[in-house]
Amino acid sequence: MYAVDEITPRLRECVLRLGLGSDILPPSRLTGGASQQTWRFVAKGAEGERPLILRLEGMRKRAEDGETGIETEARLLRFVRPLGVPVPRIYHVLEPDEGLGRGYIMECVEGETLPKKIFQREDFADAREGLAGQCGEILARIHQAPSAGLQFLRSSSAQEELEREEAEYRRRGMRRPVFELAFRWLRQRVPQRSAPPALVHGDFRNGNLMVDAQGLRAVLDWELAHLGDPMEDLGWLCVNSWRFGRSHLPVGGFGTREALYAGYESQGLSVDREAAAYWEVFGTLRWGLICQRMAEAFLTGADPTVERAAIGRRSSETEIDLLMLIDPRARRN
Amino acid sequence: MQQHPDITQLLHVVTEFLRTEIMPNVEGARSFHVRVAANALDIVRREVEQLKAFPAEERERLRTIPGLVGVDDAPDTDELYDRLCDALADGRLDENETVLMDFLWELSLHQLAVDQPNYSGYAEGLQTWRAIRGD
Repeated sequence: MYAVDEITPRLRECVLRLGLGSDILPPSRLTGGASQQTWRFVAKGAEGERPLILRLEGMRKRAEDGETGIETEARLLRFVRPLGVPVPRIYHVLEPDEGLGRGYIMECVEGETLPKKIFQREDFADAREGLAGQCGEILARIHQAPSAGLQFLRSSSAQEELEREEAEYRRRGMRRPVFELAFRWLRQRVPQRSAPPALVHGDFRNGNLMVDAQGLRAVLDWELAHLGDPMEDLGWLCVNSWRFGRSHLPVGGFGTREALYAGYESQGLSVDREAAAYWEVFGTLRWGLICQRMAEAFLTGADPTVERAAIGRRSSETEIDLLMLIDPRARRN
Repeated sequence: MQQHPDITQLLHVVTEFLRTEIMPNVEGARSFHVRVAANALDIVRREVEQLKAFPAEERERLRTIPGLVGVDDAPDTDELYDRLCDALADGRLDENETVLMDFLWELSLHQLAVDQPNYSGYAEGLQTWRAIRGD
């Protein structure tokens, strides 16, 4: 973790060397995940002011959670941008001698990522209308990325993803009957995929989508990208937790599955609806497990904050969602 | 069943937060009232600790689940839930056992009512559960 006065002079030097400006205004911290942190700053030059983003790797690296390194993330953004996937332009990947740690500098895309704003802003009405379809189109472009050029990413089948989650759950020892039920339900239904693994974003959901009045502006947070079953992204996007109270619109609380699938299939790919439904159950369980992981960070003293303690109590949300999906008498649709 | 973090751990972290982060940073009477609030939470925590006796009702409910063995000789709730988890993990019990599922619905709804009653899934879950029971 850096203080702002440590970052500013080093960042200024970096911006000068890259020709992005002749001076900078001090950066301000936007988010501070334990694994990454994001700073916004302004580079001033002859052509005026240019807002930029500095992404830095945080203190704790979580390779066991399947996260890519931050340089890999930058490499991936550069790879998908020419394929028509809206992502910020990367200006620079930090070098060790620049004294800023590991990370990169990218374009600052303006827009909203807060689900409430995306739901409520009146000037977003048209954007909301088309958003689910647009998500489908963009996901199809991601999934069509030539995977031969992406061998630097980890590759993981549905079976392996499930085993990885279950191994961590067993190690943690916080057993819950509904999670046991869900694990077994998932083990019995692992989708068999004959196609080669595709690029999967891994966290494509409301909250990581930057939207403006025109629609989807940028897909953020590629830390969980990997090669695998592309239906994982379609299922995860529909997990109830990402509908933020608007359960009747399964796609992020803003759209229908039909619109999402139509957008996806307009790009020449087909949706395996059964597999997408499977990944929605998987994703629901996964969010419950992520809440448990945060609770564990509190309980072990690794991150003893009130925030971490409180999120530990959110795994019960996913239990109800799992029962809705698994109980043959309930079947949410 | 055992929840993580449990009630006393949550109370403890909030109490410490009040004492170490808030109290030194507010003035006079407000600082005094933060101290009183923290002390009140300590009382709640101690009382809750005393109430942590074995909930007989949960054992009764678990006894009604067909195929769940060793309910009566389980020494405590944690052990009892471990046995239920084992039965679910190895498939002796699954989503087609309605007595089990009824129990899980009630358990989860009860827990969510404590944890996050404002979660959208709570109202929806409650409605679904009532429809299943035919209310």
